[in-house]
Amino acid sequence: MTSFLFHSRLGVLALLLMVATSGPLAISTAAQNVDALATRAARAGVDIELLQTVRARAAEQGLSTAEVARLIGPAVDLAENGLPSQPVLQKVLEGLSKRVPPAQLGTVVDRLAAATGRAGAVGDSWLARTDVPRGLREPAARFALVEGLTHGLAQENAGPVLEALLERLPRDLRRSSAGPADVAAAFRIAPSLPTAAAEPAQTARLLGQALAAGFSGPDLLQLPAALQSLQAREGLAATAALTRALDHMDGRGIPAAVVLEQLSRGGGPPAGRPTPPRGRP
Amino acid sequence: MCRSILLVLLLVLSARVGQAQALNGGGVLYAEVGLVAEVSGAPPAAACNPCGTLFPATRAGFVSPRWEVGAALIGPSLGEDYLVAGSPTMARPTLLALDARHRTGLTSLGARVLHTFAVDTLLGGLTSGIVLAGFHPTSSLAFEVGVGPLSIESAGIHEIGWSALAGLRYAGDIWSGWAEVQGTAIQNSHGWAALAQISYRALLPTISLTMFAHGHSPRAEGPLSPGGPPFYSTPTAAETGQLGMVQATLGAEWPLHRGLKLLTEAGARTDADAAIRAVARAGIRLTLGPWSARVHPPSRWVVDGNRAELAVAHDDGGYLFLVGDFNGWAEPGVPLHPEGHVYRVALELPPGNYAYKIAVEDERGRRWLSLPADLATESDSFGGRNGLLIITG
Repeated sequence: MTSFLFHSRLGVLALLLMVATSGPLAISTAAQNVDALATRAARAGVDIELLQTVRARAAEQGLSTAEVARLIGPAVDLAENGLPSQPVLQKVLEGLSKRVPPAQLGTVVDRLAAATGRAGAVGDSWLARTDVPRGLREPAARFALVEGLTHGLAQENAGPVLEALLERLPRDLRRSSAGPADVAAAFRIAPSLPTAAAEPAQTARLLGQALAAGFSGPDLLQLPAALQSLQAREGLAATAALTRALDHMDGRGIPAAVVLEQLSRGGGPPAGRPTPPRGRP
Repeated sequence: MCRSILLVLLLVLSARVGQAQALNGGGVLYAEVGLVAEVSGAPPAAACNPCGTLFPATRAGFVSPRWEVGAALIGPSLGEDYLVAGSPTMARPTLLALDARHRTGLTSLGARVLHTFAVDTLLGGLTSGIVLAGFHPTSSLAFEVGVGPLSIESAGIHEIGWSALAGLRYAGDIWSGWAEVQGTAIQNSHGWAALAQISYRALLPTISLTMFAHGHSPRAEGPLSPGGPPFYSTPTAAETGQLGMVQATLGAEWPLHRGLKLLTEAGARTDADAAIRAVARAGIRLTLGPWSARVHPPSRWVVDGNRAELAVAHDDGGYLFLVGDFNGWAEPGVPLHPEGHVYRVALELPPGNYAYKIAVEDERGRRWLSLPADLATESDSFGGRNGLLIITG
């Protein structure tokens, strides 16, 4: 009995000792993890200034070092695999600014990191196609395209429209001067177009034709609102609005600003069609 | 009795009506009514005349009735603003302004007509002119310069002259509050005037510290034009008492209920006679409306090379800030410059895709603004939507 009591007390003592020491030890380990991650990040070419901003902002909001390590770890992994880490770090800063709970932020970061991995694989496979313009295969261009694909893939129902866009873009880019930033913009906004889910092939066609018609990234950004305006003004279904938009953009060399203006505000004949002469049969 | 502290309780009914009307139909109409009580020290001895001039001296000396009438007409595009507005100030108790501007980017060129009923004849009368105004987003500095004819009627004499003004305004976020420093110099055919105002507002309640200085040179003697009637004589002692004024007040606006605010203000002022007087005001203001239908000019980014300018329509007041990937989501963000119901900001950015949000700060605190449908957005993966800006260089 005495022996049992002695051993019980010893057990309690050991437990107390474990509880007393495990906290600082865990924190110390996490802190070492964060430092180790920072070292790995520097080696992998992560934007160190951005990383330090994330660490400082997280500390300001009272996140533990373990939580910080949890949030920046995926970015370092991506960089070590030759993929862009900036979207993940920016997403962490965004989440902190929006006061998103660390656990939820971690989940979103994981999803974005997974999307980046998928975007890297899809992008590299696409860039290996012989019909993709050579200029898009430069390292900086590849990063921009993968980033665009990452953000696109992170949207809902993005798969079909991005797949269709990747399939038809090489054809459209042959007659286009679009740069990597413009193509990346197309990847990013494709899922936001109102017809993306219902008409992925036609939506991809619209974006491809827009790039071929000389639309820049900022022009593409105005497409969703222009389509919605066209729908609301003329009471069209989304698909009909898409068809009308395609008609405006059918390779007639009309400047993007004019096309967008006509889609948004209406009025006048469809772009590129001559006005019938008045007073003549 | 005149030397003793005189308590004056003045109830002023203030009314403000504003309208923002889009030319293509719809618009926003709102109205404000306010009741202000003012307690102040005695007016200057020279102006304190028991024979009946107390009220005029009081108006000029230390009581500032408040009333406002405002209306805004916003053109079909962001390039045109037409504004009819009134503004109450300490030196210009009543003022009407008609302002029509055409805007190119962040610079506007417009015509302005002012009519003031102030006792101060230098600022009173009818002034019209061409005003050029602009805003430098990086430094948060706004400027305006203008010139035009001036019409003054005082003591039964009507004179036509000229007037020119130059003003500079800084507005920005300091210590989690909003600071504004504003200075305007006016030179006209009769002398000069200078107005300076510093205010700082923090949230909940809105606290403002306002310093206001106003002074002008004595009026010119003799006729304005050869052979014309004699112009103003050397100012009398009573008028001299109106020639300069410095005032510092601390005020607070307390939201009581939706649309209802309690206004409080207290401080001190000194006139040209160097006497220091206490001034305090309290009142309530009720804002009715806005009544829709709201039709706004489109909100949009205009991207030219690396430069991107945002114009966003917003008519619920408060201070707007742009936050996003471009500044590492740092708070409070880049302030948007309000001009009527359109807020503007310009950024110089390297090529890239930038997610962003607009934060609004007002008496209800800081929160994210729902972006207008005209602006491209995408899911932020947190259950909300981000705006998207693309710079291709």
